[in-house]
Amino acid sequence: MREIHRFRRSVARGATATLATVTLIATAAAPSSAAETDEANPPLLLAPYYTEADLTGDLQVTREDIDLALKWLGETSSSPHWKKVAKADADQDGVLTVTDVADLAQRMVYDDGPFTLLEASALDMQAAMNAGVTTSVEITRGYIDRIEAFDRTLIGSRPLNSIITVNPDALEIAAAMDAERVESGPRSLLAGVPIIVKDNFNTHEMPTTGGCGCWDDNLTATDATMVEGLRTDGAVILAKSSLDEFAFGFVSQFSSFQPPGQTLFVASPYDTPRTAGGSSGGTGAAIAANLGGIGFGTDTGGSIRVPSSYNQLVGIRPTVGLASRDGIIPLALSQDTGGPMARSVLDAAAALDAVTGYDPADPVTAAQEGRVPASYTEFLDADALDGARIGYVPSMVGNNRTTTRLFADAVAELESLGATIVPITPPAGFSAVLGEPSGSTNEFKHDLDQYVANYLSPSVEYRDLQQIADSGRIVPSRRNTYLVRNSITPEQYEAWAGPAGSHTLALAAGKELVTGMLDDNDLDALIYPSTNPFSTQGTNLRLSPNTGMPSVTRPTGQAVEADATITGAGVNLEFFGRDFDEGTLLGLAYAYEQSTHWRTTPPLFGELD
Amino acid sequence: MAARIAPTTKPTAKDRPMRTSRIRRTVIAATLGLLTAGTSVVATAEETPQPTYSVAVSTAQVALGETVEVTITASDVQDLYTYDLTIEFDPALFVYMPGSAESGTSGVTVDDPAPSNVRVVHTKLGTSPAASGDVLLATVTLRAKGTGVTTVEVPSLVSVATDKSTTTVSDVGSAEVTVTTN
Repeated sequence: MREIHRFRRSVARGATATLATVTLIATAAAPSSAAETDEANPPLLLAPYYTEADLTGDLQVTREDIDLALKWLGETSSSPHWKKVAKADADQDGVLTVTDVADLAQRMVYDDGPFTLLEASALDMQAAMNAGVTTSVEITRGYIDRIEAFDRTLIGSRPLNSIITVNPDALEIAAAMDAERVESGPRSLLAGVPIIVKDNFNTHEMPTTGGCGCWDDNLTATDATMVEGLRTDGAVILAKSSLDEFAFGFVSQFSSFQPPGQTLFVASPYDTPRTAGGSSGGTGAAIAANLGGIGFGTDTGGSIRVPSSYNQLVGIRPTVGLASRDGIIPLALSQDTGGPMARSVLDAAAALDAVTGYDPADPVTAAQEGRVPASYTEFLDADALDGARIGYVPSMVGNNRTTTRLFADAVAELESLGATIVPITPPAGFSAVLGEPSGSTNEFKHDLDQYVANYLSPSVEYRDLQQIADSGRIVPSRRNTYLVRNSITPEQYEAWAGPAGSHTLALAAGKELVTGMLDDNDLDALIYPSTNPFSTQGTNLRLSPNTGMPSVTRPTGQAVEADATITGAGVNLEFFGRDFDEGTLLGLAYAYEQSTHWRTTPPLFGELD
Repeated sequence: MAARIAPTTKPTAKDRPMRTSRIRRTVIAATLGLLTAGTSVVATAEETPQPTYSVAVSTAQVALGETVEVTITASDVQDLYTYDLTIEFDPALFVYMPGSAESGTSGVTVDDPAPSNVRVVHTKLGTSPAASGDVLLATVTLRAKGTGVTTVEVPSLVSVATDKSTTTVSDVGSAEVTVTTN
């Protein structure tokens, strides 16, 4: 084939607008070398597939790369220009052919086919927005329409009640992101993606109630640090989701904006008489029912993982210290975490990227320095299970018929994907790790007082636990619990959560013991079921909080009639690992997901008519 | 400017160019993904219509200094993600109008002109659906610079499917055109 050096671009008929979009993307956010990449505005990072063929040094394939490949079509490895295009020689045959061009073009985040909001991933949204098929405004409007149509409407036997507040500025933010995309391209995988955060994350344009009617007026002056991170990545903060009042329990009962003495529950979108789980039940129900793109919850003792398991979502409980908790209404800072809840591992990984970082306001985040990858999406390798060594503790599997069946199936599937799965006899002390109680009883008053001092809006009348308990604007059955927790003295707190406190030492010992267990058995991760169908499984949820170590949970199947449990109920498999090793866990979960996409869409919440 | 065939639609009888050479050609599979899949694929191949191609000109007779549009279309295409074709012409009679190459399907189209031909490469982008059915592969505009009778032809077409399997078709088609003095 002869060499071609001077191809000129022309616009495909009927695709003028499309090309305009692409051209803008190609010229924008495209630093001339990786060294010039603006860390505050990272490009799309979806390594390796979307980055390894990049020719222009901006870690992404854009029109600029495709134009370059077309310009040098026919070049051979003996050409002086070869080094410019060698990375695009996908079949490595030493000549740049149209087949290589096709391969390169496929690595562009772009899709001019029909866009469907239902089950759309952040990547789907970026591809469609890049192609001009849809906009962030249209996507945001679509989710708002779904919230209006579905959330407080009686569907099945109960309304979902998953959303407390919709952001009045959401469409304006989306429009700004659309304008930015036209001007300079998408700033991240979250650019223009509507995100729902649990109503215990501070947001400056919406009140942060913590699920309590007593704090309906808590319009904070600033955002939680994690929300700031999401906005920096271009996310549209769409709404605040319902939660179990002050993130206490697993049923997601709340009193926000309800008459005194009245409460609401968050329903499962799969089985409306049942709970969506908690405490991040609103996020779980909303993301499962496609009321938003990606969600965020908090997890002190299971509050991300329970609703992820009940709602067939991917959830990340990060290492304590990976993401700042500053500006989140606390429950127990010894164990509090915030993390993504999403319909795919990719979405969860992209969302996690936005919220990591050292925050002086949450000193525990200092531990992450040098331990956070450029992007967790780098770990999303469909072959990640090949060669992995994963352990499980048989007693954590329990005896629920659905759970045991799904766990056995998962083990077989993971093995078929190249993993070695080994039963582990845990060391002495493992039961004590799982048995360490939650910090919430002894820490809530202390940590809440700090939040009140730092962030609670001056317009809120009820400013401590006693006032909250007496406000009449709470879930009535919680009053005694609030009073018990209000009775904890500073001395009791210090003896529990101080530097030499019993809980502090127990968590440190737990981390050491379980890390040693992983090391001694040469394990990449430990697996166990997050829950049974609509119920917890033993003390499995305690492992991550009681060690501070991370876990990633993802769907592993649903109950079938032959199980004689709760037919259709989802169960998640949790991958647990070492401190700041979220990347490994996400890679394993991703490979498992690519093998079988267990997630289903709740039939009651399909396309809007 | 000569009337153009609407993109992504099959030419109607009224729109159809005056002279068309419609040629059914043997497809050569250069990448054997389909051929290695066994007899069921063979059976499918028998049931699935093979693509056909045509090369047409907007007018069979053009005056010196005027333009003629050459159109290459395909019918019954399946999974066409990227393609590469060259239109050959007599450089004594025609010159390619730079930048006139277009495709009827979305994506990026580039041209590479030479004195006696123009190469057109088109690709879809990202996860966009590949073209299928009846596809306007390319139109190019030639300006008449000398008189006489000649044939415009497309000697080959390389097409790439989404799975990157590559197919080469030879003798895609040709069309005769006469350049007159006025």
